[in-house]
Amino acid sequence: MKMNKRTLVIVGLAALAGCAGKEAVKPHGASATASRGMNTQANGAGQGSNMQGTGMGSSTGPTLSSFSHLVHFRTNSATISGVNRKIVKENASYLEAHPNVRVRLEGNTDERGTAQYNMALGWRRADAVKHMLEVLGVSGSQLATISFGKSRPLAMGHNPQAWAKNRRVYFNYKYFASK
Amino acid sequence: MNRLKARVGVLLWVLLGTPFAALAVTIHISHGYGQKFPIAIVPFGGEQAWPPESRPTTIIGKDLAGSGWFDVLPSRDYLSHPTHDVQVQGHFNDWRLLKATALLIGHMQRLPDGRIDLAFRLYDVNKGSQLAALQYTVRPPQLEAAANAIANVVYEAITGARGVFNTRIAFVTMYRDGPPGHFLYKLEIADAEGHDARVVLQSREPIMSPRWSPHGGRLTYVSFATGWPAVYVQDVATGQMSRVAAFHGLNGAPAFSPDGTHLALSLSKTGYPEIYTMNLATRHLRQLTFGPSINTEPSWSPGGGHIVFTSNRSGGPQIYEMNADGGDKHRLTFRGRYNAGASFSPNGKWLTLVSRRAGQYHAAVFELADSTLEILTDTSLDESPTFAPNGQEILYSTVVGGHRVLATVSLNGQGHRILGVRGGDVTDPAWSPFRHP
Repeated sequence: MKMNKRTLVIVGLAALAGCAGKEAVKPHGASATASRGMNTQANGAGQGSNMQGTGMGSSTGPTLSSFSHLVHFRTNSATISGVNRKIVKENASYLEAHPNVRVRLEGNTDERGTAQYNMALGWRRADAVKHMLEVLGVSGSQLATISFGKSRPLAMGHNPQAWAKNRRVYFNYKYFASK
Repeated sequence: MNRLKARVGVLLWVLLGTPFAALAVTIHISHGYGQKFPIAIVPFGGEQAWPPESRPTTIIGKDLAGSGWFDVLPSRDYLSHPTHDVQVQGHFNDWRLLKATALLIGHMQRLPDGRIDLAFRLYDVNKGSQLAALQYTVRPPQLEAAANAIANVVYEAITGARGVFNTRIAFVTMYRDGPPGHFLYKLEIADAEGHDARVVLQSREPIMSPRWSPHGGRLTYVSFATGWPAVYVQDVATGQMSRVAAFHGLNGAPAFSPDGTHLALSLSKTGYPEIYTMNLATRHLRQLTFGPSINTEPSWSPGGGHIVFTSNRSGGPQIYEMNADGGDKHRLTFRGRYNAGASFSPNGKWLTLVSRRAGQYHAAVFELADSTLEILTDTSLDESPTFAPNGQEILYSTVVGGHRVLATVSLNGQGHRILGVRGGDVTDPAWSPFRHP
């Protein structure tokens, strides 16, 4: 039951993404090709947590430090729900206001289960966030996805609290800014 | 490889008395869970000159008891401590009283040139006959290898299966390094006990899922060294590595074909994680799965004709099987809602995999003939189960005392040990094939 619901949501997102335009239905990773051209521009953005978009003139919107860069997931799920949708929207607004900023969406899982299935699960989480951002109007060329599976836990415990913290997608704004 | 050659060169195998063919006499295991062979291991004559932990009988006893197939009888119960054949002949009743199935005796001495002479005999107590007799001459650093070799001889003579005490394991260790979420990763190779580890690769980016080539000469693994996941093949002896898959998206779960010419792997370059095979000589890719679901963790059957893999096409992760050309896909596991990470036993009759029961993730065995799935462990965070090359034990990673460690469990459910790997959290073990196939 739970699984069916999740599948439906993912399919729904994918369908929406399809409506949003050609950009959104690019195969996963296609944006990474486009991204290389963007690197030099992103470099101009400088580093630091309050990094602003470049060359946009008016940067009166929210700063990078004014919203969360982490969204969390339920066990074995790639569905973005509740407060996490709000977080994705805040990141979407920022990215739309700063079209030269690129972000790496880093999918992660908790330690339960196998390494490589968790790699795929982390990929689905990053991909779900990417699709939602695209549906919200962010250009695919600003987004790259990667999965670390269970290999980079934030919380080291072997308990439900640690697992909940580790099931996450991290909006890594520093990755391209520092390249 | 060099180390192996050196070892073979130095070991002097000399036959004593009984012909070597005596090894062909084996006591066959009747397949029933829980059976163990009681064995008496008499302290070798002369070994008291070595510290207890390096004495051959200490190492042999640990090896055999740890395998789960032997019950090593405590030496304080022995009526005598024979070190030579003449002290055994005519006294088998002493050992029958102890209910020993087998008796191991031996003696050792240091030669004037510093090398060590080591001789042993193994007896079938019930028949009152000799099963094996060998002598080794080794340099001191090879004493542990010689003890492992004796354990292999005993293991094979009694169980009929080849011993694995001189095989190797590959694994990944993780150390906290910097802010949360940052680690130092090391790909390491050690002996089957987890000792003598050497680092093959070290990185601040993740390293995952090592797998051995059919003869143990190469490893394939996933490394994020470039910042993105890629599949590598590395020669174990020379350290020479080549990056064979670095496509957009996931590059994961590599596994050598049994003939060593191909990899099966999972790539998401089309938009979804799909199984491919790659010809390692031409790098030509062949896509075997199609569709918007997760397809990963391919593993070849020993004959190379089939590939099992994990897919969530039915909702949650389950094990599927297909022909090596992608044909005839069918689901294998139906019990439980999480079955993943399957790999074949060397005889092709079983799979080992991770199976969730009541929220706990266990190493399990799936029997292909009758589709039964049996949980092997009572630990709850098992991952990466891998068969020993003799098919009698499974090595996996689990959490004990708050740390990730490597552990083994024997297929009869009687042997369970934690390997003595030093360092941080230990994950992703892979057991090597035999050195001499």
